Amino acid sequence: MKQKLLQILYDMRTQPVSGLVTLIGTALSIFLIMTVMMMQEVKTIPFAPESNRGRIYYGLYFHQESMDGNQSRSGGMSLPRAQQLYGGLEGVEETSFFYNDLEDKNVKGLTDVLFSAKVRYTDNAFWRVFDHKLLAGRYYTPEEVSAHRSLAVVSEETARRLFGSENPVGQHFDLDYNDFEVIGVVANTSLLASMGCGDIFAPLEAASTEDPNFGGTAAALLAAPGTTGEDLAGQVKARYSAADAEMAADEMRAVYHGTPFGQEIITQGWMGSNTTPDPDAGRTDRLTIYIILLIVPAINLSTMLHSRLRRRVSELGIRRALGCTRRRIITDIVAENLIVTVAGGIIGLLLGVLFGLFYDGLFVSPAGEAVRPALSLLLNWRILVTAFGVCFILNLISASVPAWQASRLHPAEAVNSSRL
Amino acid sequence: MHYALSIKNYSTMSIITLSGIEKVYRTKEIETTALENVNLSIEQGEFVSIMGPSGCGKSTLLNIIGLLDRPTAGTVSLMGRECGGMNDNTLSHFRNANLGFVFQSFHLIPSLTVADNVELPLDYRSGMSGAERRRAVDEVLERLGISHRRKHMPGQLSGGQCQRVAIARAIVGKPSIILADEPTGNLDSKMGAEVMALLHELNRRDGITIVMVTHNEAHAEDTDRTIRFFDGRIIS
Ligand SMILES: Nc1ncnc2c1ncn2[C@@H]1O[C@H](COP(=O)(O)OP(=O)(O)OP(=O)(O)O)[C@@H](O)[C@H]1O
Ligand SMILES: [Mg+2]
Repeated sequence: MKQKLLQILYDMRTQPVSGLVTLIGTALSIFLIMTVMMMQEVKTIPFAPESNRGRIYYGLYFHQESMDGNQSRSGGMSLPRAQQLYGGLEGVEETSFFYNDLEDKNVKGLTDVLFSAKVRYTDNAFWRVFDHKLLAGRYYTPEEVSAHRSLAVVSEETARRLFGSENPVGQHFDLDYNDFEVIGVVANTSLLASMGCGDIFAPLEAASTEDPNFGGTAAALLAAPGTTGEDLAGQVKARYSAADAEMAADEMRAVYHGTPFGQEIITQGWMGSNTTPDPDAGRTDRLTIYIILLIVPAINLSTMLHSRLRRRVSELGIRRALGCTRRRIITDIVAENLIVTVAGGIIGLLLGVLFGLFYDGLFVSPAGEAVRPALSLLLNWRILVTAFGVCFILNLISASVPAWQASRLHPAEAVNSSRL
Repeated sequence: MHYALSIKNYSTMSIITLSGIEKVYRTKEIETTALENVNLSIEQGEFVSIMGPSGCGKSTLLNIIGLLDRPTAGTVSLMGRECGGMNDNTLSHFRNANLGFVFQSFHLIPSLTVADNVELPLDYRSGMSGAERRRAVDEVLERLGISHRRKHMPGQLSGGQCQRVAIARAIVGKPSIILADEPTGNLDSKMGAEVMALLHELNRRDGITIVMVTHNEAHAEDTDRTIRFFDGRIIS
């Protein structure tokens, strides 16, 4: 180990350009890969209030088509339609219905400051599908939701902005010029949460003028452990058939797109209300990106290593003369290169974390806003282990060919090579 | 200095046997016959010098004896073992266990300290603890009077010191044979004489068989036997 470090330092001193390019190249490559990975990680890693991301499934849209195929309508669901399609499925612990859109509304409280807050209208089950942290007060009950009571649960931050240092529970505030009473305070939620986030939560109201099929309602299902997405999809498909029968009189039919969807699909980017997302497409795209991000620098690093080894042909010959086996030549070179790769990787990872923390726009919330994620989302054991794994693979790809070539050098010719 | 033959009694066992050795280098345009029908037997404990004009095949012969190169035809036996059938792995282990190399331009590894250079052959040997290796290195450095240089880098040493380190590296693994290709070629006469004295001591005290290529008549005369080469053949 000590000797490998000495060798690396010696190479750095005698061939600074090649050494630096290798280090920077590795750092850049790890930086890019880890940034892409972090962006994906943030989309799918569970954190409160979406600690159950692996078990939460969503139904967001409804799509219907006329029998003759000339007409097509799609969009968010009406509450009755959402209930008909997603209510009371088997193998589901909780089903919540809520407004899909986070609405920006003007609010004003004791502080007399008018500001805009993100309001989410939900039912009572919402608080069990998503694990918000209740800091004070309580959540609204199913009865209060049915009665459309003007009650609100607000985030800690919103409470402070509305009421300053006053105890917020029991206080009143204006929400779009309607009077609301605060009954509970929850911890702030990151905008990176897909559907669980919001500044103010209020009882969902089913507008009576609603279209029987369309509206703004979405369904979130908390599957029981052991229930798979396919189990749920099978049931929902049957519900679609039932909806078909209802609509037959209007010459319409419901088009099923494979719902409900898990976390990976709903964060896959733009999801149309009338298309079937392909879960493999996102994975294939990411895999392609990772492979390109690995192969391109690996080829460069390989060339660099090759040129550094060419200066050491005579030395390699001596090592062979002294009894070093071919296998040992390979493992020594790969190990030596791994040290360089890991050093570059650490630099790259730090760059990635700093970039994630301080560059706006890298992480975008499902609502389309720039978000700065918490450090723990960017630097955790999973990321560290992955980064090391990527370094290892990068090293194997880039070092194996030059190392193998070095091991095949003819000992006598290598010793007498003038390059040293 | 003259080392009388009579004070040594080397066994009559042949430690190096070459028979019918031929070496042909083939490049695209030309074919060079570097060695032609070389038959040679060297006894255990012998100090043999090889002389001949430049390009006559001396280094090629040493490389073949040192198992760094394979002959085009003929057989090499070292210490009673026929080496032609050995695979690369076995050859490596055999070199490590039995052979020591000394070169004209020292060939120390520039990124390693003197001590690490000397330790290298032991590093390639299995079953030796770090402590055992360091003890062996210290012993050899002490013996060659270069202990105070152990932490130096090769670039900081004089030619004579470099060759001492190279010899230390060649003997640290207690080889039976040392192959030296013009070991004094890059040294002034005083340093050259010191290196020769060292080789003679290793030959007499440790019984190491030495095969040395040299252009120096006086150095050759001091050895037990001089083999003269011309155009890839032994002429005397
Ligand atoms: N790798 C090689 N490829 C082709 N020809 C070679 C190779 N190595 C040596 N030769 C040729 O083989 C012949 C013998 O070379 P060798 O190096 O053994 O000579 P030498 O006696 O050691 O010479 P010197 O005294 O100059 O060191 C020379 O003609 C040389 O050009
Ligand atoms: Mg030569």
